[in-house]
Amino acid sequence: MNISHSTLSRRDFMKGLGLAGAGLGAVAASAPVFHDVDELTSLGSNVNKYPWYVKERDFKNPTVEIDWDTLERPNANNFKSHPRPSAADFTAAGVVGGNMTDLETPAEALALYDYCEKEFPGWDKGYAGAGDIRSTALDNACKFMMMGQWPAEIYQGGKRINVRNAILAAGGTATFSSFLGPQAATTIRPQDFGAAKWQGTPEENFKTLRNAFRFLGCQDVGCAEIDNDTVKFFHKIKGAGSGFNTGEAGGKQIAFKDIDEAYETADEYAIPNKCKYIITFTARQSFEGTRRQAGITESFSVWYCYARYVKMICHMQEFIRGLGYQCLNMSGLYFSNPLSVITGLGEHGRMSSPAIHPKNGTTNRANGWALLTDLPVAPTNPIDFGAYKFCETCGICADACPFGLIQKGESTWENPAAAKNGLAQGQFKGWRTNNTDCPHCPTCQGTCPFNSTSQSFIHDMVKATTTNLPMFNGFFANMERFMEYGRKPQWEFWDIEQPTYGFDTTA
Amino acid sequence: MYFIGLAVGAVFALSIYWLIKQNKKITWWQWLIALIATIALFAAVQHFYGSLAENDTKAAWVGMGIFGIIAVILGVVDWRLIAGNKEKV
Repeated sequence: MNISHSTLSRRDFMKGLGLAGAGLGAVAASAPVFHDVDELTSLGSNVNKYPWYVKERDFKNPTVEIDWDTLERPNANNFKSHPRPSAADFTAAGVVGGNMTDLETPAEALALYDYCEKEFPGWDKGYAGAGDIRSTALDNACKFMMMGQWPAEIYQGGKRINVRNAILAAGGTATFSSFLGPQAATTIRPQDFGAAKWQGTPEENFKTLRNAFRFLGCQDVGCAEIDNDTVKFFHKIKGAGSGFNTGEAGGKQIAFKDIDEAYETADEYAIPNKCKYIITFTARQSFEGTRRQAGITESFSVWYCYARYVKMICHMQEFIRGLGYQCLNMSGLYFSNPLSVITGLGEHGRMSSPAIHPKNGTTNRANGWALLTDLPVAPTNPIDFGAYKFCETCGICADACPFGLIQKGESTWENPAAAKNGLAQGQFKGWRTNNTDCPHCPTCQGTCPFNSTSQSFIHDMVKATTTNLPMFNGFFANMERFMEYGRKPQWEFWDIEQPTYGFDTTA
Repeated sequence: MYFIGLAVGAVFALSIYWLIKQNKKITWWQWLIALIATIALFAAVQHFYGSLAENDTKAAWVGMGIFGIIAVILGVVDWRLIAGNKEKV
């Protein structure tokens, strides 16, 4: 018999209708929600072009719980605060390449040799403890003017000149980067010529800054306003050796004042209250370089970030000055993790120092570098892509830490590293790393499951599932281990075809 | 993507050719199994080449194995089920 009509029974039709309804419901539950026309005409919920599964949250309501009443401005970042051994101390302990050491102690350096030799059989510490000769050479090449530091002796006109000493003798500082920015003679301001400052809506200003940042090489940009709560992410005083002017002993006050123009004195960084717009941005590292770090220090991926993005801050300070506004470099004067979280550049995670970015995981250098400006900028909200919940069951980075300095177990209000990192108890429900003893070794940054690029579909599928169905997080963490994503042998870096700067700049 | 398209397209074309030749009635759930098998095949090939591009060799082979086995099992089961169906009149 020739069937010319549908053979679908009423029962099958209803069953199909139910399945379609469930599917639509699932899509609706996970899709971004439209609220009102104002939202549509403002920045929109996805200014940084995050994947579809990234959800937006309310301001000051990130995935990590914060007790704003308990939170207080810390005195200073005590990172690098322990006494540094000399090169002779390292040599006496049997550590090669004493001048290549960064923050580790001789005992930690020896532990790192063992760790890398076990993790990658055949790995050789090389003549300087940083691995093969090519990696060591690129390490040192990328340290040139890192952190904005003026070079010591370099060739100038056929002679060895100590540029740093010459600038210090002239009353300058150890770095070209500074709180107030270069304010070069060539960076003219419209108001100095009787012209009006740039005038734009906060949304236009955000887009303007984002385009400038991306032109200069960064990826994503966030913004939040300083209020009585968010000001607590800024230190009270500058720590020694952090941020700009690394040669200084530290101790300058960081003061928010009712003044018109920012200024810097011998004992104070004075910030006008009107410079209340925090701008954060991501500084991407080479993906393959980051997960192939080995030896006593991080790698050229890190050093080049510090060389490139510190200079980029100067460009941004000059750009905003050219618009007629102030732009203050806050490097080393704040905690990057909470500012990144509050401005929607990432989620707080177990590693605690870098926030986890939805596209790049922890392969950003200190995700969320911060500037302050009086140019009104539209805010970006915190985001949720399941990273915080994933960290609750993952723990790959903490397991990988050669020194056990990353907090294990579930997130806590207590700070087990309080005696070391100086942060009070009960400020947030998350994880802390003992940053005082952390030697910034090569390990944890390359282990995060969120680092994965999106060339295989599986990563986006897993991330989308993680955002909406956290019950699978334990399974995904185990698969991450089994599939051996994460860190790779250092020597393979030199045989891999890589994009410019080591990352996909179209993302 | 070239290899993914080639592999999935070849399997799809052969399947359709076989179906037409067999002149069989096919139920909706047999179509569903075929669809899932096709998606699994697509996933196996895409994941394999994607992971190799990411320099994650073990992940490439493991993923290929998982999705590939699913594709093969579902494909064979569906093939035998359809083969047992009555011919269209």
